[in-house]
Amino acid sequence: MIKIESRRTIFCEVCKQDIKVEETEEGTLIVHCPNCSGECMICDCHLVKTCFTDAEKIMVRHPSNGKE
Amino acid sequence: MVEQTGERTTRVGVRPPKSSGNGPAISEPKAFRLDLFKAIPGLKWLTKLRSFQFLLMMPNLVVFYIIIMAGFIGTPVGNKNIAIVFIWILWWFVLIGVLLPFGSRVWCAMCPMPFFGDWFQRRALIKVRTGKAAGGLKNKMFGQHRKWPKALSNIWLQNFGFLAMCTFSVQLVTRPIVTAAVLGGITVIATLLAMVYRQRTFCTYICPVSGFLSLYSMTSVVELRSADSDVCLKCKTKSCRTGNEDGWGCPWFIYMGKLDRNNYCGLCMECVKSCPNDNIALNLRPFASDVKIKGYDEAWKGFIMLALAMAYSVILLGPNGQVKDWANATETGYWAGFGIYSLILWGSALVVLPALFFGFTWLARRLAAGVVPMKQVFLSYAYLLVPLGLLAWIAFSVPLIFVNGAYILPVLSDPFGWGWDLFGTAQVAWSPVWPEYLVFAQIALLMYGLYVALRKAYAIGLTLFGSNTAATRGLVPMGVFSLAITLAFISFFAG
Repeated sequence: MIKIESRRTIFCEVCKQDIKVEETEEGTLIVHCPNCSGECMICDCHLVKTCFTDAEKIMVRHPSNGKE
Repeated sequence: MVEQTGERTTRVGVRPPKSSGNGPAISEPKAFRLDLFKAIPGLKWLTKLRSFQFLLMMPNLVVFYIIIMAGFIGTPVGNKNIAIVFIWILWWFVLIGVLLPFGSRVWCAMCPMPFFGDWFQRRALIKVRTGKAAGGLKNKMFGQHRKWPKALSNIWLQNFGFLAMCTFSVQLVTRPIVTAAVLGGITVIATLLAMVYRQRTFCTYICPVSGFLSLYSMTSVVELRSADSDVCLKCKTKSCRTGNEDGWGCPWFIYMGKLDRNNYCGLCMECVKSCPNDNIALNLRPFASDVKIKGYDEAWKGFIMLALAMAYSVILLGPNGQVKDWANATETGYWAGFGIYSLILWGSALVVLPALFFGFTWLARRLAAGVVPMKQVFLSYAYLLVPLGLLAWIAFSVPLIFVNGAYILPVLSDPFGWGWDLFGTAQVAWSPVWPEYLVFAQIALLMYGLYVALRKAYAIGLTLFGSNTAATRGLVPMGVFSLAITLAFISFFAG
């Protein structure tokens, strides 16, 4: 079973802070990094691999799910 | 099975520490904005048409085809061939002098070069396909749809590509076959890359024109933005970025909810169609409203453009025959001179000008007794290169249209130089328009560039150093730099 939270944060290991994450109705995760300027093509965010990805994929990778 | 639970913190993505650009965003206080969608009846309806971009692209594609053909099979005499006259006189002036300052990157919406790549990825000219694709897209995309390598996700390739192309500018702007080969080559590369990489990867990272469009679009008096960012925050679909049944996900991968500058928005208007909240505005705004240079790649684009404007002013407008011979080595055979010319061009664009600018920014920080990191000071002040460079390019291009624009009517009737007279204008005599007064227009343009640069230098200083006194002290060296650049151009044009 994969747990997906309706409201949650992701911890950025580089910036050492919790970053708000939103999940759209269609199951896409969006990272609300305070430095985000909406230019994904040149995005330098440390959480870029999480942003605009399927929520399920990220949760499957999460260690607490017991899967990698 | 999916279960909804409460809040939790998730640890992902461990990557080596990396500098976060030029620190805090430098932005002007929200000034005048007028939503043109509300002010101009029918404009929003037009941009919401599924065929909007196709209707913009198609006429250009036809002209582009004629230009490529003329380059290969038309007369080799430059001023009698549509490839040279339409591209390097008409298109160039309209692009730099009209479209960029008044329409931002609207050229990217009508550019014919990505046409075939777009079609390959979408397998549609007008309609939208729903489905799923990598990058969070809710549209079906064809091709491999790969992500561009992270290390190349900047405009360095554009910088070097553009500089390399411009090193051969004399050949490019005088020989139709070279122009046609370069334009044709770019189209082939754009199409091949579209088969492998996501959407407008070519336009964002490779296209040599895109680099300076990106930089100078910051000055444009129009911007496409979300009308209300709170609406975007509450939006449950983010369809501007992901796409839906009404529009393709942004081909430039832009999330409108957080967009705060023009650089990478190609104005294709897909977000206007896909936004479920009708929350996209096409704003009229003051000149040079975006002021955030994000990285060294963008700053160096500013140096390259400034150095090229200087080089072209000397080669193409100046009286110095020696330099012209060096630049035109394929005709003069003076390859040693070409080596010297290339070395000076690349050296001044990539090393000398940036080093000089670094010296002035270092002095500004010192005089202002600033504590902000040098990188932030350098990148923030690098914005001055934008108004200075754009206005210098426009000033440089004024004689192109007023003096050489007289070639446009004849080639319209005889595009290949074969003696045709399609519209009865083939024999219109070459007559330059007000050549003796053009220098005054050029100086006025340069002075306006200087005025904007000085005004912005003060505002940037205020943001960086926090007080009027410090901002004024910082303005002194940056003002000297801007003035020196302006005087150099005046001496090129009026000397």
